[in-house]
Amino acid sequence: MDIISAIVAINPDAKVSVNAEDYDQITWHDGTAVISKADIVAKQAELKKAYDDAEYQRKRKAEYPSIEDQLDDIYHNGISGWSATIKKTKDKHPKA
Amino acid sequence: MSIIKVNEIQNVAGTQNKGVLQVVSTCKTSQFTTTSTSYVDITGLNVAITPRSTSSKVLVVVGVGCMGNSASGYQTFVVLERAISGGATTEIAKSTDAASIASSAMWLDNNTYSTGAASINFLDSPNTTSAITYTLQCKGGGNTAAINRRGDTADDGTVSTITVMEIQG
Repeated sequence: MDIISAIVAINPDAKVSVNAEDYDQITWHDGTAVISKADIVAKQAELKKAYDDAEYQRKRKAEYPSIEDQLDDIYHNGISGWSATIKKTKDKHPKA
Repeated sequence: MSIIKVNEIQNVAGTQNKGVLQVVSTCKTSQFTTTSTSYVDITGLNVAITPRSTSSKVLVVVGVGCMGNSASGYQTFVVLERAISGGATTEIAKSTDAASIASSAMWLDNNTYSTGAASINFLDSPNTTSAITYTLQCKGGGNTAAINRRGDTADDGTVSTITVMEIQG
C-alpha cells in the first residue's frame, strides 16, 4: 500500500505530494497538518491487511458470470439453478 | 592537439549556419504522487540551461512515461514552467484559450489502472543569457494524481524525461 493512500485514509482532505515513495520526501501543501511517519506506516499495514483479507472477494468477482449470464441462468434454471452456479465460485474461494 | 575558436561559421552564400549549441537532459526514474489541485513541482523533473546568446531559441522536449489518477472520472494535468535566474515562474506551452489549464492532460474513464502519456515539444524564445530552469508541474482534478505509475498502485513504474536544446538564433 503506497504512502499517499495511507495519508488520504488518515486525512481525506490532505493536500500532499510524495516523491519516490520515500517517507523523507513528503511535502505538505496548503497548511495540511503533518502526519507522523509512525502513523503512516501503521495505516499502511492496516490497509494492506484489509486488502489481503479481501483477496477471496477479488477472486470471486473475477470468476462470477456476467450479470447478463446470471439473468440467463435464472431464466433457464430458476433461482436454485443460479444459486448452484454461484455456489461453485464461493466454494472455490472461501471467505478467509 | 589544436583548438579552433570562431564566433560564427557561414556557408558559401554568406548565411549563418544554424545548429544545436548545447543539449541538457534530466531523466526522472522515481514515482511522484500528489493530492494537490494546484500545480506543484514534480520533484526531479526539471532541467537548467544557460543560453549563449539572447537570440537563441530553446527547444524543450518532455516525455512523461505515464500518468494516472486513483479514482475513475478524475484527471491529471501537467504544465511546463520556466524560471529565469531563479526568479518567478511562467507557465509556458499553454494555449491562449480561456479554458486552457495545462500543457497536457489525461482524463481517467472508468478504470483506475488506465494511464495516459504526456508529450510536449515547445520552442521557447527566452531572450536571455541568464540561467533558465524548465520545470514540469502537475496537479489532479481530485483524488490522487500519479506520475510514472498507475493511479491505483505503485506497481508498474515508468520514467519521464525533460530535454532542452539551445538552437542558434
